[in-house]
Amino acid sequence: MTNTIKTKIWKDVPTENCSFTTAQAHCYGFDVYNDLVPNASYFEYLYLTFTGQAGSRGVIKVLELIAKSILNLGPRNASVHAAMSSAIGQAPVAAQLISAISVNAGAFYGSQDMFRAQLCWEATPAVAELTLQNWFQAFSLNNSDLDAVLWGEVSHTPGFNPTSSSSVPVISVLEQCIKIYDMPRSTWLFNNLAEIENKLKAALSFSGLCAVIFHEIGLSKEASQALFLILSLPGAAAHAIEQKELGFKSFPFFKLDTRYDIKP
Amino acid sequence: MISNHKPNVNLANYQGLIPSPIGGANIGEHVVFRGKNLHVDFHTSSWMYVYLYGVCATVFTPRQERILDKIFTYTSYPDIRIWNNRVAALAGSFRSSVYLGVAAALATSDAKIYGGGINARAALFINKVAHLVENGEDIAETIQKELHDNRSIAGFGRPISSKDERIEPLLNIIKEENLECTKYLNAVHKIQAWLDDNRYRLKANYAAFAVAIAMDVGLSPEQFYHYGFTSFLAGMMPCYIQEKSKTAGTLMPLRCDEIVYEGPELIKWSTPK
Repeated sequence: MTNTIKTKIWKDVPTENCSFTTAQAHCYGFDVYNDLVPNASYFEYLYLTFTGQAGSRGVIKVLELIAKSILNLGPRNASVHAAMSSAIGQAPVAAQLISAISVNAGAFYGSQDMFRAQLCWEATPAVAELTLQNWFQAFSLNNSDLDAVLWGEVSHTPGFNPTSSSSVPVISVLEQCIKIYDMPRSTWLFNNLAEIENKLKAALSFSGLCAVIFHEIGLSKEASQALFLILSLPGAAAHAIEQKELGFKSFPFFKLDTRYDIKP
Repeated sequence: MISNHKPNVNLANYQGLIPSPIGGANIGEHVVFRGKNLHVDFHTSSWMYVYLYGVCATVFTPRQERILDKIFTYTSYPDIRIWNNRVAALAGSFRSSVYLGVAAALATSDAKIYGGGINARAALFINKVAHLVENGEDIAETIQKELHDNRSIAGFGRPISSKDERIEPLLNIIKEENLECTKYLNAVHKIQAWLDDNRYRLKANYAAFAVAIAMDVGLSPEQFYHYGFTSFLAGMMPCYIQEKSKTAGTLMPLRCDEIVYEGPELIKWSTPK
């Protein structure tokens, strides 16, 4: 066994006087600090890191739109709530972010939900043959026994939130994305969304939006999960920081049903 | 502009074989755990015994182990509203895994107003006062400085209720096991007496008693901080499991109007010059 790491992503060129200090770093062949940092946009470098490719203008613009749309999922979102709950006791900021990530990794409007939706999109036929019937068929993903143990029972269609009516923000961002870059599946979804949502009685969620968009801009399922989790952190962090200052007395504590109480 | 200094720490000296007195695994053969054979020498030991041995590199008597176990037991609250447990509960409701949800809840337990952060501060302060008392020195100035610098004393006072239902059961265990808890528990009583005499409403809470008793059993403040990492775990698991069993995505919902916005009025974005 050798103590080396093989990677196509990153090359470390050492300084002359210290083999543990980087003089220059290359990412997929590009000089990071002298070329990418001054010349590439953040989202160009981000896309390169995850795919090894320079994304086209349209792809990068879509990635940026999505990143902005999930930057803050709002304080009613479970992952943001988790970060705030973590901040209330003044846990380290890293613990607050871990809380956001851990809750946002779930199969209910989180990254696991997005992953499941991407599996469904992969099972759909070519767009020219895509119909509502074969879409519903592809999206009837069965929860395996293993999934139920690992993630819990989920009965909703992947990418759709049964606790929400139609989400104007999600639909608006979907429309903005298809206007700037040709994405056939996303366009089909936009055109058929009202009927789908009416039948499911569930709303396309941001996890569902990211599933189809990331699928169409060439991100692997793993990269998609990573980006979904990373890009939705800033809002969680900001709300956590604010809530820490406001303190625990201004954070809802809720009441438990007393029927499970015991007489000491 | 670029200095060509040689770094103070030469990482080349840390390559090669890694010294590891805590042991290691000879896969397929045997595992060494701090000088003992994991699969032989812990034959009659509990998990808590092994955990404490791992943290403190010392062994404890059954009576000591019982109190260190009970310190965890009496603070294992399966209440989904408590902030660290809430993270686990939300993870269950929103269908994340137990490994992710409970790990995050454990990380959240490193809080300043409860959990790890309070434990470390309480242990250090009680340790300081105990040494002053042992040397016959006055503790008033030390307590006053602590109150002045931090506006509180870690281990004294409680966010939600001043009464702490965990203390009496814990003290009962010490009596049952006939454990000698003197130096640090005495320091807690001395601090409490000073606070009472000076009309502060701060009462010693569970953290003060737990750290004092654990230090009387032999843990250092740092060891208590490390050992305390899993203290809430038994209460967290049911929080996750319960919400995982309910309808997905339904824990602690808030309506839009339950977010009370106090920011500026709606304006159109333009990039500042």
